[in-house]
Amino acid sequence: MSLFSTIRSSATGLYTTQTRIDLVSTNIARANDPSYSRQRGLTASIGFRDIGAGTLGMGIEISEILRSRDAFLDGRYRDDQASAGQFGHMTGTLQQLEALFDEVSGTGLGSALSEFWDGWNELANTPTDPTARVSLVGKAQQLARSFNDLQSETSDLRAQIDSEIGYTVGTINSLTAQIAALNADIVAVSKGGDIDANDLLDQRDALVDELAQLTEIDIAQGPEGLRVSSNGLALVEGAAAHRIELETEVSGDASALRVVYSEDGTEFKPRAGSLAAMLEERDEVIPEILAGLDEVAETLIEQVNAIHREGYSADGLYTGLDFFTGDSARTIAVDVSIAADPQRIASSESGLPGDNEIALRLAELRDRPVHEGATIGESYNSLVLAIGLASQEAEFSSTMAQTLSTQSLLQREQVKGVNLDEEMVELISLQNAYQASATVVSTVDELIQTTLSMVG
Amino acid sequence: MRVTNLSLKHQIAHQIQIGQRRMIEAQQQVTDGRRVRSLSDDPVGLSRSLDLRERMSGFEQYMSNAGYGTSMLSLASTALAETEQLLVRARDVAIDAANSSTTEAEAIALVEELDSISSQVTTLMNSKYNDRYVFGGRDSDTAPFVEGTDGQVFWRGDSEAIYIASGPEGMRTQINIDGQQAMAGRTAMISRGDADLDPILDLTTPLSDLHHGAGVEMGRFEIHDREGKSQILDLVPAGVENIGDVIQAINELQDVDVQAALSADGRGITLTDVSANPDPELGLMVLEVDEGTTAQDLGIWEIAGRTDGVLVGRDLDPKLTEENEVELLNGGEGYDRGEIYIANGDNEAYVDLTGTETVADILDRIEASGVGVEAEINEQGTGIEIHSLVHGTTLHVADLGNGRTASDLGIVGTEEERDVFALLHDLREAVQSLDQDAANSLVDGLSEAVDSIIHARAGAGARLQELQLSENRMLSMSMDMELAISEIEDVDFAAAIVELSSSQSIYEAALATTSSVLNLSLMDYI
Repeated sequence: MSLFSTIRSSATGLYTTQTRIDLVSTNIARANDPSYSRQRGLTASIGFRDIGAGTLGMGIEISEILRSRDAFLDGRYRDDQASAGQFGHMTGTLQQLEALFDEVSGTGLGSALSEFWDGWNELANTPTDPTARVSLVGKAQQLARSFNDLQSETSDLRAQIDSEIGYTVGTINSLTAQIAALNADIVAVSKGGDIDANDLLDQRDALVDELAQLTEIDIAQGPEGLRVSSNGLALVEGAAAHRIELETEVSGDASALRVVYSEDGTEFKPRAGSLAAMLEERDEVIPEILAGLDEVAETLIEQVNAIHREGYSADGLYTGLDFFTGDSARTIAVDVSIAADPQRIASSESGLPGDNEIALRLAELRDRPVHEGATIGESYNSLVLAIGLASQEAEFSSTMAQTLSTQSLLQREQVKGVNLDEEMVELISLQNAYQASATVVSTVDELIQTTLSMVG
Repeated sequence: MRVTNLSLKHQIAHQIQIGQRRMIEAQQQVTDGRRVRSLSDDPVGLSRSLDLRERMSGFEQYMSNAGYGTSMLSLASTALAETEQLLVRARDVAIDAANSSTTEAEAIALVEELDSISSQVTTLMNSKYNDRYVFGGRDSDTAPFVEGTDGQVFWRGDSEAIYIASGPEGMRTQINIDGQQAMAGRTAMISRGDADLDPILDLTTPLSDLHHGAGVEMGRFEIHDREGKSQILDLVPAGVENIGDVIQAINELQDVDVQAALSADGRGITLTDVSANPDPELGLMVLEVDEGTTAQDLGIWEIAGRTDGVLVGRDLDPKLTEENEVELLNGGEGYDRGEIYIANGDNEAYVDLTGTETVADILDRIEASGVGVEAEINEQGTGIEIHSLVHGTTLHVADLGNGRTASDLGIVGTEEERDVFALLHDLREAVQSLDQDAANSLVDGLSEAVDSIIHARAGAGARLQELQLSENRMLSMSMDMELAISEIEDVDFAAAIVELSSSQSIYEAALATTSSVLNLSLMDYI
């Protein structure tokens, strides 16, 4: 037992306290960094000496600097993030669709359809009046344009989502590549490097968080670092990242971008995350709406033409003309020759100018159930209703997912976040500890001086 | 639970977000009064209100259609009313020309008037609405009535109906009047007005049929017998409905010794005084009570007094009814129940009337002949008239061989269809040539023409009413729908304002507590 060993022991106390003050200062400095995990120093005894009567500690050291994290809470947070990303995106898209199919303000296709029927009524009232014909052509063109515009705007939205998918795939690849690189660094550090491993871990966790929003992921910790997989397909294995790629798939005259797993070409189809929402919107939601719109357009074209073909023009000629050309929402248009010469509209069944039977039957089409027990207007309205219901449901799910994700974020924050007051308390107690250790050193120093003067 | 700076920040931001959103939503609702702003706010409700809106917009169009139809029908109706006036005048001319001797100067003036009537009727019947000939059917570009070289006017129009959509689910209303039908007239209809089949009474003849359907005042009368006794009979409490009831009621009178029976010729009621000790100074009398006409109506009014005790009532002229038994016709002689010949255009038939028992039997057999005729009792209730149901044909009815069947029924004759313009043309000729008989023969035809027009006007009126009714119905349904839409889309203002102020105070409280909580730090106390 020597005084010098006492000083050494106190010195370890000073070092340790200093390191812990460093930790407090880092914690305080990064209190507002969302990727940062609060760090704590674990202390341990350096060793002991046998002094016969027992053992004496030789001091203290920081054995490990720990990040406060809970893998379970991290997993839950990421799952919730995936749902929030999915429903958030779905809501956004459906709200855009809602804006396209805007029937609330009374300027949508529904009112164009209504105007179109009114046009036939007016023609039935005044079959010999050329202005009724001109006005009807205008209304019919407006209706056809409404179909064309809705179709093209909805298709544009689909194309926009398509490019968004491409962008998202790029982001996912970049994220997985970064995670793989960090895996390598972290393994290297743990084998003895001079980089702060905790900082790397924080960085990697932040990247994984980001990835979780885009696609559902499963995490496993291995000797080579994190293994990240999505729906059974490994995206990161240690230092290796497996890319997902876009593949153009041609079916018929339409081509679609397919997301595939680069390793074996299987389709990459996550069940959650915003990429999942994009794929569902592009491949299911929007095509269904387009099909519904086409069905309405097709019914309208068929029904109107069938009646119109039977009639005679204003000049008493049998033309056998179709009123609408085309067979879908994209192609519907008023027959070119009718648009050029509205006198060619067939309103008469007999060829006599005052005969309005054809116009009357077309006007009556408004209330006739022609498509699965619904009128054309009702079929369109039920399409709008379907969009509204889907949008409402997505919004509801999105709100739920947001709430859940906020809750799990808060729970995670409880573990990994920094509380400034807590750190202040720690700082004060460390200050006191430091002062105490320093006092011990100076006291032992005095003792040594005393001993030395005895010699001198 | 451990609170950290980041989680505090998150939580506060989240709460302020929620408070702000709630307040903004409430504020928006109060500002524009709409509960539903986008489809997803209430898809089911909104889809229903979209359907309602579409139906309402349909209603608006149907009402506008009805407005158009109303204008067209009103115009037609007015034209017909004016035409009717002109034809009534033409008929008066015919009656004048038939009855009085007309001087040539007068004839010239009448001819001028007839020419003017004819051209006015032509103009009226060629009326246009919105550049369409109202009476021309579907052929709306061509004038339906065209004047030929000889001054006669011919029908060139179309008789088909034109409809408008006047209501939902394919409801249609005809908005034109067939000009040809409106202008249809006939020459003297078979038996029209002249025939009198003169049915006699039987006990079941209703009092209301008497005097050609004018009936009997249901009042009281007083009978005096030759012994000076008298009694009042009141028809109402006695429950009298037919001739038999009257006779029975008189016979049941206790205070006078008078018996009643059908007259021998079946034309009236005969009263016989059966007093045991008649006073030769007194006669059988029937007097009115309270200045009524009951006794006169029953043909037994007698104030002079019948000292012989027998009062033969006057002819009660019952009208001809379908229930009349054929034996009662022609003063009780019935008719020769044999065969008649009917020809209508190219169709002809021999109608066997043997074994007929009632007038209805006769009418049924004639109508069943298959030549397109209608047989009915004439308006005056005196005879049977027959007319063609087919346009443009000439109808003949005649006896066969030595039979008298048709003559007995008063239905021998010819009916020819002539439209108004032909009748006017004929009348002009008759007046010009001072031909009284010819003018007379046109009176019935012109009356029939006036009837046709009245009939057409009634049709227009019925359709106008139909349009009005459907318009009213749609108007009230629209109002109900408006209400339903408002209930779906509009805000409950009281609730919205309460929500606004409560969300406002919640938000204010959140802001106030946030600022005081965020400022707290241990550092302030070290």
